[in-house]
Formats: sequence, structure tokens, C-alpha cells
Amino acid sequence: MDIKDENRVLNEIGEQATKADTEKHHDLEYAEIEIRLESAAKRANADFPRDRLYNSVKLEIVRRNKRRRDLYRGLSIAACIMICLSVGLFALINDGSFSPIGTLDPTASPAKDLPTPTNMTEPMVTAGVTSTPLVDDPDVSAKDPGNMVSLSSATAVSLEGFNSVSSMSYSLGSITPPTEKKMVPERVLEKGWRVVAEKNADASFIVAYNDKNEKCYEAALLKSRGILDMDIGECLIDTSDGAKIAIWRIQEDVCMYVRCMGISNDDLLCALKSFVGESV
Amino acid sequence: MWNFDSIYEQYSRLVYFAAYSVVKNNDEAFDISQEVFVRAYNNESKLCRMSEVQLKGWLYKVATNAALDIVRKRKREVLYDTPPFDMADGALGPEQEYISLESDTELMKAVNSLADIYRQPVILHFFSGLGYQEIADILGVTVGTIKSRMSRAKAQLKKELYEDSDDHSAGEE
Repeated sequence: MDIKDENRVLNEIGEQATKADTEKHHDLEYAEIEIRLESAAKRANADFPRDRLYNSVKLEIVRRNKRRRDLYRGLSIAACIMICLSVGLFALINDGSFSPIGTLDPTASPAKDLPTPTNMTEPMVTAGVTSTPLVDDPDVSAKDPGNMVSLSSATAVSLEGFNSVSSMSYSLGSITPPTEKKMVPERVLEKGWRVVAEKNADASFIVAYNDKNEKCYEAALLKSRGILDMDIGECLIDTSDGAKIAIWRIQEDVCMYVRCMGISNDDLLCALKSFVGESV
Repeated sequence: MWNFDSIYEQYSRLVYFAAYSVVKNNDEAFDISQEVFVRAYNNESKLCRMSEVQLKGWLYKVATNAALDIVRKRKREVLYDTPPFDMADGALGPEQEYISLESDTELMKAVNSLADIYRQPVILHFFSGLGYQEIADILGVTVGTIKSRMSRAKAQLKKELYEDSDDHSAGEE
């Protein structure tokens, strides 16, 4: 073996030793990391506040149960109060000492003092209007915009179930507007009006749609209470939102209320005539 | 059959460290653990019917989801990473205790700097005391994957703890 070979062998041995040392060093470092992790974990576990966590969990459970109980109790109390208020209000309205649509001054101008459409929305309604024409006077022309329909024969109006009407109580807030789904009979009137009636637990509505299927007027019979003193057929109001309201007194304490959107007086009168003459 | 107390007794560490591995903060991990066990209490009847693997999976999932919610809500708020508890060893003298605490803090800092997929097996194995198979079941991967992740995690920890400090000391010289 010459010197070159000897050096090569020595180098190889040296490299292997270095490599082995490095691996050993790495292994030692890995082992040290594991030992450090284990000892850190041991200390962390020794410090783990098992009891404190357990107590806080139990406390939180009790707290949440109590909160839930309080919530249920609050809700049931609120429900009781609501029921009592509803019953009280119902009794007051039934008694006649409270009118949900307010009282009108009979001496005041109807156009000025009648409730606006916003607070007369979804009027109170009776059931069972017959198809007996209210207006059968040939002089009454639907094309006469200057006069409201004369209801000289108002007493001829027959209202089936009127007794039940007068015994009904009304509440503006509780009446649900008609929905398409529930609508029962419908008939097409002149000028393309289509009158649809609906009955629900609270009231009956009669709603008219034009030929574009837009809701054009809704009409209802209501107990007139605060507007008893007005003259028959006297009230026709234009409101700021473009609606027209007509209220007729058609019997001693029964009025018909009609609210229309975006139609002319002619059309309104036509609609009224249709409604009365062809009421469902 | 499990009941709430036995679940708590056996898996409180798992839940705490599962949450800690995500939020890296002691107080938040504690709060999350509390929330998880409240949920466990409310679902006791369901959990009682579970197998051990299912139960561990459920607890781990709920803990990490709650932790991830916290992290998402945190967004811009910067919370400093804290080691789990104070990790002080009462049996040591003050000087030794200080050294040990420094060492643990440095170690936890390195562990917390690992990517999620490496940090979770390390924490579950060393701190929650789970075996590789259990970790694989919980994380839904194979044992081989867990071993490989552990190996890479250790390599990164070595780099973080030794080579960086070597570079640092070499830089100082």
C-alpha cells in the first residue's frame, strides 16, 4: 500500500467516523428533544387543573340551566300577560266602550277627519252579505262622478247574518289580510273587475282585482260605531297616497268601507256599484 | 357505558390539549374545554352509546372546531402564545425551576411554531398521552402518516432549538 492509498483509506475512515458521529449527535439531539417534550408534558400534566375545570364546567351547566328556566318562566309570564290583555281588549270592544278605529267628530268635515288609509287598513268585516242589490235605482248612474251613489233604498239592503254582524267584535290589528290561497268564489264584473271573497276566522274580506290582476279595491262591511251620524253615501276621500276611500252608511249602524288605489271617481263608483250589486 | 364523570376523568387532558394545539393559549384552551364538556353533558345520552374511538373522535372534533371558531373570531387581535399552565415544578429549587421554566417556554414556543399537521400529533402524543394508533384514528389518517409527521416535527424542532441557537451563538462570536 503506497502513501496515496493509505491517505485515501484514512480519509474514508475519517469521513465514516464523522458521519457516524453526526448521526449519533443527531440521534442524541432527537432523544434530547423527546426527553424535553416528555418532561414538559409531565410538568404540564401535573399542573393540569382537573378539579378547577370540572368545577367550572359544573358551574356553567347549572348557570345555563338556570338561565333556560328563567327564560321559560319569562316567556310564560309574557304569554299570560298577552292573553289577559287580549281578553280585556276583546271585552272592551265587545262592550262598545272602545272603538279600535277611533271616534269621529260628526260635525267635522268627513274628508278632513276620517282616518287615513294607514290607520284604516284591513277593516273590520262582516260575513254573509247577500246579493240583493243595494242600488237598484235606475237613476243612479255609475258614470255620474259628481254624486255619490244615492242610497235611498238602503233599508232594502238585506244582510244575511246581520245579527251576527252586530254581535261581532272587531280588532284592526287582528284581522289578517286576504291571501290568494284561501280565496273562495270569484266572479267577473263589468269593466273587468273580479271580486274575490275570502273568509277566515276573524272576518270576511271582499277584494277586487282588475284585468291586470292588480288589487284595486278592497271593500268591507263594518259596524259603523263612530261614524253613525254621517249621511248616507256622503263620504268620498282622496288620500295622499293616491287612494280613494268611500264610506257609506247603509243601515243604522252598518257602514260599507271601500278603499281603492289609483282609479278615477268613475271607476270607484262603478266598483261600488258592482260591489253592492254583485256582492258575494 | 360512559357517564359524564368517566368521560371527564379520562379525556379532559385530550380535550384541553386538542384545543391548545389550535389556539396555543392557556386561558382560551381552558374556556374551550369548559364549553366542550358542557356540550358533552348536554349530549350525555348520545355519548354514552359511543365506542371509545368514536367518543375520542367526537371530543377532539368538537374541541378543535370550537378552537377554530375562536381563532377565526380573533382575526386581528394578537394573543401571545402561552405555555400550558405555568409548568413550574415545585420540587425544584428556585434557580433550577427558573431554568426549567425557560427551557419549557422555549420548547413550547418551538412546538407552537410548527405547522398544524405536525403540531397536533406532537401535542396529542406527548401531552395528551395518546398512542400513534389513537392519534391516527382521531385524525383519520394512517399510523404511517402519523409516524412520518412526528419524525418531521422532531426534525423541525431540532432545527428550531439547536441549529438556530448554534447560528445565533456563532453570530455572536
